[in-house]
Amino acid sequence: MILCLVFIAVAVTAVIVMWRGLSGGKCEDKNSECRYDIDALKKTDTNLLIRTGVCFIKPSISNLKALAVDCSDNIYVGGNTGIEILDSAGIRISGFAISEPVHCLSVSPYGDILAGLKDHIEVYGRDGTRKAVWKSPDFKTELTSISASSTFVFAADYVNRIVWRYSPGGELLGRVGDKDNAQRKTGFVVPSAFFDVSVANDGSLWAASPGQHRLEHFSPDGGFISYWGKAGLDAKSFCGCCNPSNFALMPDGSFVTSEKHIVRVKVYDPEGRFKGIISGQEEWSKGAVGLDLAVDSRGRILVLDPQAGTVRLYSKM
Amino acid sequence: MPGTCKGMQTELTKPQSRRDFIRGILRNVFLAVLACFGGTVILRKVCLKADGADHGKACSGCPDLVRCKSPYSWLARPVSTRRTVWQLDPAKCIQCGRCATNCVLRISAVKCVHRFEMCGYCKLCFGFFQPGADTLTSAAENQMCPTGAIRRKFIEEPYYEYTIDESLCIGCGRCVKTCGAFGNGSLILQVRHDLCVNCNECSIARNCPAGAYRRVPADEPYLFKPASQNT
Ligand code: SF4
Ligand code: SF4
Ligand code: SF4
Repeated sequence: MILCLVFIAVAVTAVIVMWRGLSGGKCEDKNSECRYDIDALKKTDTNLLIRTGVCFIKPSISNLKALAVDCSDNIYVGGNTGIEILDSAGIRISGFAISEPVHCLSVSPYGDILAGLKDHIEVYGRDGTRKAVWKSPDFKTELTSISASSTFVFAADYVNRIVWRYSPGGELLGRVGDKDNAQRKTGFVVPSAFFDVSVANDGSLWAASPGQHRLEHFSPDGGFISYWGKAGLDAKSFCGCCNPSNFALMPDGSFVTSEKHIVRVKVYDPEGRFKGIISGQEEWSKGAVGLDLAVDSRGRILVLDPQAGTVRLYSKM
Repeated sequence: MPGTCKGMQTELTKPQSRRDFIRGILRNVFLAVLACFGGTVILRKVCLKADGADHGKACSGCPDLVRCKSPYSWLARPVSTRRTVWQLDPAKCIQCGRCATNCVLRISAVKCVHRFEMCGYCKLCFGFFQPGADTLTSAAENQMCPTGAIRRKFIEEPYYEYTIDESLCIGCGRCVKTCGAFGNGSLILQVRHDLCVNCNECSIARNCPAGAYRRVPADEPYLFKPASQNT
């Protein structure tokens, strides 16, 4: 009888071990294989989602790369062939062709359209007339973002890892974020072609340092003020090697950020405290990348989806 | 026999002499060789590549010859370069782990290769560190590589260089997977031709779920993603 019980116990144990594997069934051990389940790491915690309504805008130009909004909430998109202007509801107003692909876009407080082509800025009127061509600041320059206040225009250059500061008339005034070994300043860390800038309501500059997973704050003349942000896979942090890839400022000074690798759009308060997720990986294609952001005067968040060729418009519910 | 055609009967029933039989065989062999030679000469002469330098004309062996995908270009190449070897296409590879286990060699001929021109020299390298590593130190428990084949060297704050010790790499592709998922994708797997014995039928290719293996010219044996695919 005892022998029989021992035999049954051994058999049951063997079956359980074979079923669950020698290391145990659940994925609690940090060093177990589940750490390499990339899809599991990318899952969005639905408790952190902010309820928003979303609508999709489909501009007619192809290979979208850049997005901007003016003070009247008109939407501007730039692509390989030119720029298109849409009203706040996404209805096409006008468009014009540009000989080179548009890499980044901004609308100045004076209503000029600042188009960042590969290595220089061109200024256009709303009717498509070219008003000015600014000289390229450096032979290696590749522009990824432009933002303008009434006194300065800032342009992010991902190859030189520097922000160029211009006057509204196009005069090159200086550099922001230089590396300085003597003062132990690392400068911007930009491992890939995503380097965003945005001017705050008070004229100060926010610039991403994606390789350090943070947003850095500078005075209008380029003096370093502070930074916030940290690396991590959790929703509060910025994931991967280099994020946020893009960001925008909301009318109340809050931040909207977009990330690649784990594709998500998140909101942080003006102090950089995490508020919630607008949109998680599940809503995007696996390879979604380059989600340029803009926020209009009503606080609606616009997200460019270059792979789908659409602009998503998120508004509070 | 009335009505019988004598001549025809003679023609049909005449036994073929051994000499005629051998002569016939030799004639056919000669014609076949001539046809092959003539066909080869014609094929070698015409460039069929739409954007080829000699399109429609005789192939003069343009600088694209080595990369030319036209089947006829193969004939125009020097015999020594017509050899092909196995290679995996990193754009198709899903890092299933079979490259480490299915090679006929005791330690796989597939190794991790680092493309420095795509690398961000990141302090937090997802090919080196486990996702969610507590500290960014080279302690074994923080490392992604099961064999410690990746070396991390400080360059200057905040940049680090990562090199692969191929003698330790088993081609498991773990680092490649996480570098691609969270980094620039500068780590890739490649069959190393100083190790590969170029089996007729590569046993990894036979089991590769992604169909990533193909034969490539031996004089260009590596397949790299273009650096522009850097994300
Ligand atoms: S077997 Fe194929 S999919 Fe798997 S790691 Fe090798 S190349 Fe990649
Ligand atoms: S993780 Fe695997 S593929 Fe990468 S270096 Fe280590 S052994 Fe090689
Ligand atoms: S050809 Fe043979 S030696 Fe080379 S990778 Fe394939 S199985 Fe290994």
